[in-house]
Amino acid sequence: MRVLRQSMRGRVGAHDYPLEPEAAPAAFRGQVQLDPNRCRGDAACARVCPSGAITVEETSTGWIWQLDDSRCVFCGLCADACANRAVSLSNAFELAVRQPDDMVTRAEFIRNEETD
Amino acid sequence: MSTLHPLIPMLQSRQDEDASTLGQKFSDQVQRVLQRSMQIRHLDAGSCNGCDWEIQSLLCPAYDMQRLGLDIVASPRHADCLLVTGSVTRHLEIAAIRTWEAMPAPGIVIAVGACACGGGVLQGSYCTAGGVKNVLPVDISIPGCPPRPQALLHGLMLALDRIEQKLHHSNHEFRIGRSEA
Ligand code: SF4
Ligand code: SF4
Repeated sequence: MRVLRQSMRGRVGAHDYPLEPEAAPAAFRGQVQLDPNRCRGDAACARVCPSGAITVEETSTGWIWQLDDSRCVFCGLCADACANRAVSLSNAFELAVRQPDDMVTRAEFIRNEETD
Repeated sequence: MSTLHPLIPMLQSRQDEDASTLGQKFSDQVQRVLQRSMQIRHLDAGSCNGCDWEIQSLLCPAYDMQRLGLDIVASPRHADCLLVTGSVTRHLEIAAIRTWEAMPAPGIVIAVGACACGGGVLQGSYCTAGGVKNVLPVDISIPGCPPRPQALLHGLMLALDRIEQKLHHSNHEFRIGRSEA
């Protein structure tokens, strides 16, 4: 509605996007981000993910959190499921890459026995 | 508190291309590389139409990709690059390969959307190839479900760089290799 009112008021022109950077709207669901300080490795995000984009793998010393952008459908279920609020959806949308491997984000955690 | 492994990649640092500086010179670059507009062929290989509508919105006045020297053409024989949406269903596998073979060298393939990049929610299904990369040599992947039109433009900029690279560095072997693909 806001967009409609704006376009009725002003001249309607093309988006300036490639010439000017253009931020996504605030409610946009963009790339999934992990706050590594909050992640406890309980794999709630991996369980709810409908496309299997997130995997959490237990290792002998900790866990590996892995996100595959090439499978993520940006539904936001992982952010809802995370009790520690470690996962959030950012506004990043310029995700095009040349190498398919670049779409994978991998974070390796080492469990700290004293505090965990 | 967990201790961070020193090799943890910064999640935000993966956008290696700055869109604004790239876009400034984009139309000039199209002219310089191709001496005409960049011709794009869109191939629907079993998508839900979400991605197709985002591609179609690039042609609307709001995004107006023709002002940048990009256009969608009706035949792969005219096309510089192929935008593939959908995870390549079994029925469309042959169609996708034939479309690719009909393209003049150096044709490049862009996978658009989660389905095309890695299968998306259809990953592992018996009736799809699980992504374009299992069928065709993908040059650029644009994840998103569907990707925003702006994200598509960003991907097309990377695609032009790739065409330039291929034109300048292609050799005889590359051309022979392509016809066998
Ligand atoms: S946004 Fe949805 S598809 Fe993407 S990682 Fe989270 S749960 Fe999985
Ligand atoms: S990536 Fe999403 S929008 Fe695009 S075809 Fe697949 S399900 Fe549809």
